[in-house]
Amino acid sequence: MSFFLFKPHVEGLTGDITTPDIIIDRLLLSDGGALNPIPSRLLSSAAEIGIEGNAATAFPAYMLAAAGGGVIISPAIIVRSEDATFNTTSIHIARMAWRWKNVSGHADKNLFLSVLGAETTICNLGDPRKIIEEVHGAKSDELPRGVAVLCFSKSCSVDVQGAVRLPVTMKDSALDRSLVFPFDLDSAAADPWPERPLPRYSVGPQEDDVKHYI
Amino acid sequence: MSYTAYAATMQGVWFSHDDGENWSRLLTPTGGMYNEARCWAIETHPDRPGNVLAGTDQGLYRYTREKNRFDYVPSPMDDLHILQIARDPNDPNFIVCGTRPGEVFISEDDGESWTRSKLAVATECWFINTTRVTSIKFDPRERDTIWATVEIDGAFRSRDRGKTWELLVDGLVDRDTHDMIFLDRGDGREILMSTEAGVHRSRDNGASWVCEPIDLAPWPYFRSLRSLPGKPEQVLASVGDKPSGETGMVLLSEDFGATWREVELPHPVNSTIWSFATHPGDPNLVFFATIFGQIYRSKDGGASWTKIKRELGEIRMIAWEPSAPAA
Repeated sequence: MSFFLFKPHVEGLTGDITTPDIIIDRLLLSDGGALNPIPSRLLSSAAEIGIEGNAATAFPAYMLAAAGGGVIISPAIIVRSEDATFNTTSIHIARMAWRWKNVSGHADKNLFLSVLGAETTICNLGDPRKIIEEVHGAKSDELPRGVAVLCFSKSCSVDVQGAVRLPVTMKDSALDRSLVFPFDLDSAAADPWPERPLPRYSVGPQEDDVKHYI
Repeated sequence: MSYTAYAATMQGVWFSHDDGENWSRLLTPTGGMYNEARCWAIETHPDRPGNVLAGTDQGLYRYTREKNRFDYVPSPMDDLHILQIARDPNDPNFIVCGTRPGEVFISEDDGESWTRSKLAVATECWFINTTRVTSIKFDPRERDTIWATVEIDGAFRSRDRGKTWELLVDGLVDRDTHDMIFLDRGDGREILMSTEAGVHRSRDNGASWVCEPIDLAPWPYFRSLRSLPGKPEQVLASVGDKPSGETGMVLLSEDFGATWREVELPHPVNSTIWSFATHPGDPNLVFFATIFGQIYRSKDGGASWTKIKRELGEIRMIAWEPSAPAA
């Protein structure tokens, strides 16, 4: 069994933040069509990644995740290397979230995602209400335990070259607040430490030398 | 002067607003940080009281008095232990964090973005398996120079604001280094560095070190060193029987370690004294914390101490600052 341990900071309506650690062991991908299960091990909360090759396509995304206090929604980014030996795609989820129930009433027109000038409404990437209903199999505001859904659109993306900052912003214009995921993209081809030394080994005190140690 | 004291513990960050007598944490539902997060480091802001960075095993956090909560600061250090945080006193937006494994991360924009520094510490250690950064100091005279002590590898210096580092271990009896302080007089400089095998002094800006036996101390395990603000020759040193230890003492020097005297404590300490807290707002107000949770307060620059009744489990760092105006 594999899972991803998600550690979001869930901001409430009164400035409160709760920090549930959530195990995600069933991840579904929504690109506007059918929901497809994908390995949860693809998820990461790393705020930077090195990509193979120099060119990549980044898709702003959001993730819905089941939580005891109600479904949470977080900004995310999907990065696909264009000229990779491996078909490299990585998914990065911000450790920041809102409760879906706190934004669902105005999500249609007031909830936006943006990255590098590419902006869209959340609902353009898939209406969370319909997605939740489809996953749950009934009209509901909840997702089953351990389930998360990653939503993006192939038509909403930005092409990038080399190292670049790709902050993903989820903005709620009705409540005048935003979550910013400060994501950085590096090229794996560029060695960040070109003259890197060999690893060294240290010994430290020996029991014979330092009798005061346990 | 009203002030706030902070304790970084293995159960989050504790606050005291009444001279260190009572301590409390933020409420878990509203505080922004898991209250049992392991917290090793607290760094106050030189210009913004009530703006505090905390280094934990859950990532980096920023407390602000206005929100009265911690906000998570995204960084590459989420999966590391953030053991040390230092702000450049001349540019508080320049932040240096030291971690376990022994790495240094630098932000030049108050935590918005981070760069991993090229600190070539030992990557494996027989005695503690994994090296760790035990202190970070901005050089009081050379603006671009940063110092770091690493357990167990020695002392490091960067003269280009953390871009490159050099290892300075000539003469060290032991590379298990913990803390360092500086005394600049005219063109001369002396550095004191604590190690698990005693205090070392350098008179050539770290090029070489000489271990100075201190007969007064029954043990060699020196942990924390602190010069009083504005009085660099007046030094407090903590020494314990071992880490974590069962006892320890405070030594006070009026001449930057040339001579020492033991300071009388009103109650025996229960373990090694891990951290001193001072602030320029009142050079005579000093706290220290033992690793197993005791807190002591001095209002005369460390000459005499009062033990705080409240104890807090495992404390890794203590700090204080003048209180911010109420939100």
